[in-house]
Amino acid sequence: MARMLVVGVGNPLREDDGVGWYLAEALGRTGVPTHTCHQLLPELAAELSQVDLVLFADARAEGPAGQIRLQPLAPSDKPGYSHHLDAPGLLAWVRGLYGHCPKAHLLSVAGAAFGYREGLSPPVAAALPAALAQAGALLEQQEEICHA
Amino acid sequence: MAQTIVIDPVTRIEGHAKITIQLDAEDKVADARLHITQFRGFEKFVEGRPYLEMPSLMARICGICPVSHLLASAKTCDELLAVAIPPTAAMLRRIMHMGQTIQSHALSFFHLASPDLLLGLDGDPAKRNVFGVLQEYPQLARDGIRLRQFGQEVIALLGGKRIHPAWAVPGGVSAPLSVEHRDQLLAQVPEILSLAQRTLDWYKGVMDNYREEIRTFGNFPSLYMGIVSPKGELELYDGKLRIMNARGEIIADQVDAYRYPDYIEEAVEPDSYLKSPYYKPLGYQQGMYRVGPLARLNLIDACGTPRADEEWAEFRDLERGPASSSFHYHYARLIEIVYAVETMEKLLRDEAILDPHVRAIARPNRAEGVGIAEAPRGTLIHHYRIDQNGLMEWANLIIATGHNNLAMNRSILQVARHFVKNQSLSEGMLNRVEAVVRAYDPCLSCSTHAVGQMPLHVQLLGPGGKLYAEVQRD
Repeated sequence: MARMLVVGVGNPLREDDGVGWYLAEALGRTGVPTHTCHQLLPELAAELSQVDLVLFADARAEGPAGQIRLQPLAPSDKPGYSHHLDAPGLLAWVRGLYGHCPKAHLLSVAGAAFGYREGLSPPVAAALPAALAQAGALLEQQEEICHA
Repeated sequence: MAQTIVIDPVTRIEGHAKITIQLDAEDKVADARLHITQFRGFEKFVEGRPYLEMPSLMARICGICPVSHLLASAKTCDELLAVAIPPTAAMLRRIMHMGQTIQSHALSFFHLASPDLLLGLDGDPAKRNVFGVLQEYPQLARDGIRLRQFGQEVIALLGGKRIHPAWAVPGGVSAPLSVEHRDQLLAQVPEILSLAQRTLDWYKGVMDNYREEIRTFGNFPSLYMGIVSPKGELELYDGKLRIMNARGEIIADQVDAYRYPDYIEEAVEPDSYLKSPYYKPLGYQQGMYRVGPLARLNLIDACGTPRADEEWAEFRDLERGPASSSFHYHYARLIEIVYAVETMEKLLRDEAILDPHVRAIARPNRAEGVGIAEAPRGTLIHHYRIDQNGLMEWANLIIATGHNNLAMNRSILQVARHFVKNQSLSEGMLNRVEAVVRAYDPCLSCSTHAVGQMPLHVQLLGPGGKLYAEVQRD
């Protein structure tokens, strides 16, 4: 069985910035291990070193509201640090510390509103089913690869 | 001609600060100042808010040690309620505090200080950072990651999340500990204790490489302050104040939290947002004291746990009296990690830890309350006054880094006088000036600003602000 982890990043108190949490929590209900956080921290490297695939779910500020993007990620040349730590920077920590790195993807949804309130804007809420479908397909594909 | 060297910002600390070194006409260091350039204003903007909100609000002061503020605030609110919280609630709060001590000390040692210790204070600045440690000493880096991960797991399992848990409330805590979570934590204790001991053993092995730094990094007589248990043992969550002088004599003991204004006064300097507390009976400057791991291990009678006591006995042998070099903050920090893991294990093995009665319910019965805890960086004091409707009228917070402000300034001056020889700004010299600040592990950011790979900007200024020389690294 493939070892997978979904990492939802963002702040659910800032509207669409919390879309990563929504995605992670929805995928968690299907049995996939998840981790939600406001920002990535180096300590997550230990957890990532134990999985075959990690899917980061996050909001992004650019692009038409609700636009979904699923892209593969590779470790950056230099590990990120502290408040500047992004997913490729975290993957660099994993590789540097543990000598290997999981396959990684970033599922991002372009946000429309980042104000001080809970809840998603209509275009981002409307994009959730399609985003979940893309994530589900990716995770299923990984499962099949591991079974083969 | 008198000149000024400015280090702005100071790197690998939590927050924004700059250092000014004033040279005299003969290019000798005349003075040095640490300026804290950020302002928060928590004491003011909590006015008018319900006291019940204080633990959650105050935890936002800091992203590194939110638990300390959470607990100090909850303790202050306990005082407003005038209740004795259930014993299990106190035990659970203490466990969370140990988790935070582990993760915060690990952050300070592994992420912020270890590049200097492992890669050398004169090392290439491009490599002398946590990434250099990761490449050259991956096992040590993994140990640091693991200790941080464990400390945060403790906080998350108890409080529901790693940062800013709202679990400690006036009167106790909001949820008891489950058997599953207790067992989950206990199962990890042997590994964590082993990592902590391994790091401590490694540090003791290399400490001799830093004789010059030990001799010159904030090595001066001062007072020391911290809280201790009724038996005089190391205490991080609850206890009473003890103050020791430079000769190792206890000059105040078992001081109740409410009496802190009898002993501590806060001075304000025009060039920094950080106040300068001092020991009132001796006056400003002469009343300089240090808090935090070094002070705590200097003033206690024992740690109170087996392995930490063994290590503390060695620590006490460093000098005939109190260990006076601020370089030894690193050493003390590692001993406290061992203490925190041992203390946590003892509490988790107590069956009472699973008692579901974890909160006392009451309305405010006092208009004023004071709560004290030992944050990782030192003594933390919260002091509130509320009106008849339970709304905050006034707050005073004295933070660990503030207590150390005078000592940090003195330390910078000592290092600058020793290492700054003339107008030429060597990398190693600048790094030593920064490193002595790092020894105190000052926490200035309080989670509002970015920290990490900040550039180091040094300016050599003449009278009137004319720029004579400049050094910048990315």
